[in-house]
Amino acid sequence: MELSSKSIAPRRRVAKGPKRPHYMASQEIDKFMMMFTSLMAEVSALRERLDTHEGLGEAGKPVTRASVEAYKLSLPEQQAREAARDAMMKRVFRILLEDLEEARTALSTRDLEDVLADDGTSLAEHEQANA
Amino acid sequence: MFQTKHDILPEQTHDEFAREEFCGTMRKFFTETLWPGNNDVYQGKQLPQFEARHGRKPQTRSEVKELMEETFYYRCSNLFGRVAQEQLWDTVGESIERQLPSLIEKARPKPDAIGSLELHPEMPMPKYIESVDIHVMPGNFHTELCEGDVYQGALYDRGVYYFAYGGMGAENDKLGVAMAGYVKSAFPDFKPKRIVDMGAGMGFSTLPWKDAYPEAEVYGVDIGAPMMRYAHARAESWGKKIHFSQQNAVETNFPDGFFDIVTHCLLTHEMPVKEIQRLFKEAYRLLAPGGMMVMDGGKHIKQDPDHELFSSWFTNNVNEPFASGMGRLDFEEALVKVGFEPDNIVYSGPMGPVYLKGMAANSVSGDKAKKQSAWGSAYTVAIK
Repeated sequence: MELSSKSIAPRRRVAKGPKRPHYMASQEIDKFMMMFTSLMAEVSALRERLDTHEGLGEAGKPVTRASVEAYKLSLPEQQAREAARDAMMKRVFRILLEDLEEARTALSTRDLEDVLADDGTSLAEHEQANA
Repeated sequence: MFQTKHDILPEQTHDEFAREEFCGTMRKFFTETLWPGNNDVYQGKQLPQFEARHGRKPQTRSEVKELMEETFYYRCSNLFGRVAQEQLWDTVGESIERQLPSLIEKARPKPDAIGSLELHPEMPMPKYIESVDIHVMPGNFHTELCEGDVYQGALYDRGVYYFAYGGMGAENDKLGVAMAGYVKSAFPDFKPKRIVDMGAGMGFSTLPWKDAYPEAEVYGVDIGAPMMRYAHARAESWGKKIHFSQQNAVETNFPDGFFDIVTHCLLTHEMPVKEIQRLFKEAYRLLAPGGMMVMDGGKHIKQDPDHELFSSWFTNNVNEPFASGMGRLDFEEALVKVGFEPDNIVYSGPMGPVYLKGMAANSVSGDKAKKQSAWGSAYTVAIK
C-alpha cells in the first residue's frame, strides 16, 4: 500500500548526544547576518529565474533574456514559489527552530507514568525492567 | 497574490521582483514563526528558570528583557526581524530609483484631474520627523530627492505591501476598509458630508472612505510632499476623487467645524505623546457638532511585563521610538483633555495586547474585517 504524506510523521531533525560546542558571540555577527540574508535573496532570485526557464521550456518557448523578463507568472506558480521560499527558510534557519522546539518540548508537563501508559506499561513494570 | 496595478506603481525586472518576494517571505517567517516563538521560549525555558532562581515571576519589562537576552533564540530572532525590515526597504527601493524620472513625470497633476493636490514647500518639518526614519524606512515620509519627487511614496506603497506580505490586501487598503466598514455598521444613520484622513501617506487608508461614503468629500493630509504627490496620482489613476494636501495634521488650514469625520490610521504610534495631544485638539476643532474622530486602537489595558516586552518589538527594534509612549497613553484621558465628553467616547473593544501589524492584518478578512480593526482588534470613536 502506498503511504499518503499525511500518514508519515515528520522526520526528526534534532540529534541526541552531547551539546553542540559553543562558537561565536561577537556583535559583528549582526552585520554578517545582513550579508547572509541578502545572499539568500540572491540565491532565491536565481532559483526563481531557473524556474522561469523551466516554465518557458515546458511551454515550448525560447529562453531568451526578453522572454524571461516578459514571463507572466500565474497565481499557482507564484504560490508554489512562495511555498519553496518558506521551506528554504526552515532549512536555513533549522538551528534556530531547534531552540524553539526545545522550548516547546520543555512545556510538557506529563508525568512519566502517563507517557508509559500510552504504551500499556505501568510505572512498576518500567522500574522493574530498568532495575 | 499580486499588488493591484495603478499608473505610478513601480515595475520590476524578473530578478527585482524575485528579491522583493523574498523580503515578503522573510517578513512572514519572522511574523508567523520567529516572533511568536519568543513566547514559547519564555514560557517553556526562561520563566521556569527565573522562578527556580528567584521564587517569583519577573515583575518588569526590563527584567523579562534581561532574562530573554540570555537566549540565542531571542537575540537571533530579533536580529532577523531587524534585518528583514532593513532589507525590505533597500530591496524595494532599487527598482524605484531606476525608474524614478518616469514615475515623477507620470505623477505630475493633470489639468483634467478630478481630485486635487496642494503642497506647502515652505512648511517647517517638526524635529521628530527630521530626526527619526520611522520603520527604518530611509528618508521617512518627507525626504525629497529632487523637484516633484515621489520616491518615498512609491517606497511606502511597495514596501508596505511586502511588509505585510500581502496582508494589507492587493490595494494595501485592508485597514481603511475595515475601519470605514466598522463606522458604517456601528453608526448606520450617520451620513458624513466631509471626511479627512490625517497622516494619509500614499492614501491606503483614505480611499476606502470614498468607497464607503461616495457622496462625501474626502480629504487626505500628510506631512510629506512625496507622499501627497504619489497619493494624488494613485487616486486619480483609480478614478477616486480625493483632495490631498501637504500639512502637519496638528495644525491644518481647514476652518473650524469643517469635517464630520476626522480619521487617522496607524498614525499615533509614529508621534510623540505631546504631538498626539495636539492632533486630538486639532481633530476637536475641525469637527462639526455630532462629528466623530475615528482612530485605530481601543481602550487602554494593563499588560503583563512579558506581553509588554513582546508587543513593543517595533519600538525596540525598528525605529518606532514613540510607540511606547503611545502604548502607555490613556486615550480617554487625552481626548477628554481636549474637550470630548467621556460619555461620547465609544470603543469597539479593548486595545489588543499584541501589536504586530503584519500578522494582525493577515488574521482579519471578510466579514470579520468589517467589525474589527486589523491591529489591536479595536477602534476608538470620539463624538463631538
